[in-house]
Amino acid sequence: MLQLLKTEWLKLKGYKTFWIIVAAYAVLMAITLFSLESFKLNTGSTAQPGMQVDFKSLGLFSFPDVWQNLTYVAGFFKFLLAILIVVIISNEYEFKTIRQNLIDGWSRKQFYTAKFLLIVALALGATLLVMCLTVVLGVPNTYHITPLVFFTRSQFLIWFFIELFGFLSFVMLVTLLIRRAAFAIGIYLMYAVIIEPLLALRFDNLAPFLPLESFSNLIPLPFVKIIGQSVQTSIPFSSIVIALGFIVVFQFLSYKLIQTRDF
Amino acid sequence: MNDVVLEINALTKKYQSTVAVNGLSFKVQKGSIFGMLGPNGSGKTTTLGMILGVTLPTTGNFKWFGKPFEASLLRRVGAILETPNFYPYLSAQQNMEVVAKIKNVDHSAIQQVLELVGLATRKHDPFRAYSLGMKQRLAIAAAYVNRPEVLLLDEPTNGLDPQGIADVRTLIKDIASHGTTIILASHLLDEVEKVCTDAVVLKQGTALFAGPVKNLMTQEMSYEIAALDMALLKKVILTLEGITLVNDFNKKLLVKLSDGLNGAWLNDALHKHQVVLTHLSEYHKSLEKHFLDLIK
Repeated sequence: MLQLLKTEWLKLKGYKTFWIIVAAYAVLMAITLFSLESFKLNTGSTAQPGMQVDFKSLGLFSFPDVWQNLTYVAGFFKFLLAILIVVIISNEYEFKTIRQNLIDGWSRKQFYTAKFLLIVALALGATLLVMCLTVVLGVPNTYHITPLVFFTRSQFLIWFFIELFGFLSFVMLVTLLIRRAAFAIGIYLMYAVIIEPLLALRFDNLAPFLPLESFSNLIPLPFVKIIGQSVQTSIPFSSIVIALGFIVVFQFLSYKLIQTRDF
Repeated sequence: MNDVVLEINALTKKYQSTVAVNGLSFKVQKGSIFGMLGPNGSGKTTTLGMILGVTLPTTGNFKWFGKPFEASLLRRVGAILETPNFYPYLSAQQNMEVVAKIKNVDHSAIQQVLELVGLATRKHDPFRAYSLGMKQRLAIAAAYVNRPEVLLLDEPTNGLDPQGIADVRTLIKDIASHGTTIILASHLLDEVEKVCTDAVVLKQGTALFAGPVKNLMTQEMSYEIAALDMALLKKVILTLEGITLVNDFNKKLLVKLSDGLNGAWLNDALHKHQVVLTHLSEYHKSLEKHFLDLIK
């Protein structure tokens, strides 16, 4: 297993595009989260100051709220990692290196496992990054920090991981199916931006059972606190089951695809 | 049968509308240089794809080293299928590291094999900057990095300039001289004739011939003959046993003799029938001509 991951690392460590996307992901996310901290929304005008909405003083950056708030915002950046996965997998087709990997002695299962592990590693890395940013932003903004306060709702990190992993599993399957990067991104966008929202709109009851929706549902919108509404801080067990179910389905289909296709 | 490295049994690959490989069977002996000869579209690459595990057979099976196929057996086979396949943005060295990792060999083997193919000084250049000849040589280096028992090359000189072709052929002969079994797919007959000991000739996915190359050359003894009286010559030929008239070139006849008969016998037999030959020559079909006849 470790050997497979090391091989993937050898493929990527000299690949500029990989580093550019990873750097963009980390830097854009850090910039966004840090600037949110100093974000102040003025409802009035300069002449007639109205109500000031200050994310910091609302406690959005204090433990335990900060876990949900930051994992929610960090979720938006998953599109960059999706592009990375599309590029990495479609490259294997375009350069016929998937064929060469098999010729050189990898089984189809090993090729699949290597990509599976790569996605796990990416999602884990992103989760670690979010954890670090949360600690850096949360600790100075928490008045009285105790282990209990710190760890409460830290499970949002796990939901963040599952959301990202599920999302990347979906992208992996689409790319394995479509093979071409441009088409894969097109099909993905069409599904994510048009098909699924339309389905969700048309069939209310269906929404929680749509894959991308089910992944997003793991971290409910936290900012309704600003307008004084109560925030949903725990998620139903069923949401987790649905999301995990989709992950199993996407991974199984990816595996089957690699097993049964000519390369 | 320990000395058979590859055995193919009734291998078939069907696509929706075509049969690319149809019930193909042959064996490759250890230590031989085995040619797979056929025009484009004859099923060479499909066959190689199947025995390399990238194309799934419709029916039939094959054994490497006497064992049913499993991916790890391919670590004992170094192969290039169609084109050199590498990550273009990685250097030759980095690409070789990926290959070495997959084949489970130490990185230290890389330098030696890069020297063998003459790329050691260019090993930090990205693959995409390589010329076709260099790409082909890197592919051979990658295939050979763990000193496999079998080296399988698909059109290894395709698209190369004369110098590149010469380099690659020398390299193949070098490697073969160390006892490596070589399987060489080619549509260049001259290449197979010069290099191979055994061959299979493919046409539309079936084998027209399989065996030693020397049998392919001398499957039949043919002679070109002419006499002063061509009409009489032709009449006599048609009555004699053991001779078949293959072709009438007007001024010369091409005849084929049955096994065991030769030119001396032919001359003698015709002389007994009062035919005096003005021309008698062994007719050597070049492999190319033979090949074209076979696949006609």
